[in-house]
Amino acid sequence: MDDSQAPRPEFPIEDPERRRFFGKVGAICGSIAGVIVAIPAVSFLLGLRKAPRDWRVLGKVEEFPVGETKLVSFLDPSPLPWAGVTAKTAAWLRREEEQTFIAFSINCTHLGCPVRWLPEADLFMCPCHGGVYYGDGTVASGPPPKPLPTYPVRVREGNVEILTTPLPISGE
Amino acid sequence: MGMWQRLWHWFDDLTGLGATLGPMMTHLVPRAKKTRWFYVLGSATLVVFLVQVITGIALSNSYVAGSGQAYESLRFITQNHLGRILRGIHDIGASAMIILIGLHAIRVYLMGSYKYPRQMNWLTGAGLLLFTILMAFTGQLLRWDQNGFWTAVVAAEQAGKVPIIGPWLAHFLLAGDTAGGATLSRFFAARRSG
Repeated sequence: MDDSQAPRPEFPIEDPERRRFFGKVGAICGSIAGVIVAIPAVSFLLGLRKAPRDWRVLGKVEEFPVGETKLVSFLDPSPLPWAGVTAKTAAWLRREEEQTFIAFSINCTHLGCPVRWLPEADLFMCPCHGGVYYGDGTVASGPPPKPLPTYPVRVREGNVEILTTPLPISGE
Repeated sequence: MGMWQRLWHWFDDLTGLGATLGPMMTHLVPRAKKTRWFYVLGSATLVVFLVQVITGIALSNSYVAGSGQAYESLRFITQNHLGRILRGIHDIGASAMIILIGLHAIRVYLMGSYKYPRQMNWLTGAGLLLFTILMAFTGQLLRWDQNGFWTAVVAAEQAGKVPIIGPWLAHFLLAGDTAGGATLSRFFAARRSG
C-alpha cells in the first residue's frame, strides 16, 4: 500500500502566531524538564569516589629486614563493601635503613601493569611490554616514560604506615 | 487463499512488515561467479553476532556483576557442564566475530564495494567495528580474573594519555581514583548500554 499518492487532508491553521508561541513554550518547558533529570543523573555518574588520603598500617618495623624489598598489600583509599579482593591495593616496600622506608607503586608508568621485584637482578620488571626499572625506581629499559612513583611512608609507634594514593595515571 | 496466507495478509496489513523488509530482501546483488563465497562474510558476522546475543543472555542469567563475586560466579558457570560449553561458544564467538569483520572489511575494500552509492555502508560498518571492539574489550574485562582486572587498569592508563581531559577520562572509566568495587559495575553498565 502506498500512502504517498493519497490526497493530504488540509488543516487550516487559524492562528499561526499562537501556534508558534505554544511551540516555543513547549520547547522551553521540555528543555527545563530535561535539565532537571540530567543534572542528578550526570553528576551522580561523574562524582563517584574522590578517594580520601589515609595512613594505613603495613606492619611492625621488625617484620621488614633492612635492604629487602617486599610486596605489601593494604586497603584501598576508598574500599566499597562489595569490592571483594579488589578493595586491596599493593606497593613494593623497602627498608633502606633502620628508620627509613621507601614504597614504590606497583603500577608500571607505561600502561599501569603490575611490576615485579626481582631480588637477584635488583630490578623491577613489567610483564606487559618489557619495562624495566632499577632498584631506585628509575627506568632501565623499555617503554616506561617515567620512573616508578613512590608513596609517602612513615614510622609511627613501631609501625610502618603508608599514605593511600589514587592510581597513578601517568598521562603522556 | 489458505489459512496461513490469510493470516499473513492480516498481519502484514496491520504491520506493513512486507513493505519495510521486502525491498531489502529482493534487492538484486551482482551475479558472482568465482567470488561468490566472499559474499558470505558479512552475513556470517551477523550469524555469529546472533549467537553472541543468545549465549550472552544465557550467561548473564548466572553472572554477578559485583567486584567481590564476579569471578566466583564465573567459576560456578564453568563448573556446570553446559555452562562450560556456553562460555566456550561465547569466547570463541567473540574472536570469530573480530576475525570475520576483518575479512569482511578486506573483501569490501578489495572489491570497491564502499564506492558510490555505498559510502554510508562503509561508515556504518566502521561504526559497527568500533562497537564490536568495545564489546570484546569489556567482555574480556567482565571475567574479572587477573587479566580482566588489569585490562581495566590498562584501559584507564590508555585513556589518561588523551590530551587535556585524559586524567578526568581515566577517573571516569575507573569510576573513582582506584580500580575497585565501582570499576566493574561501570564497565558492565557501559556494556549493557551498548
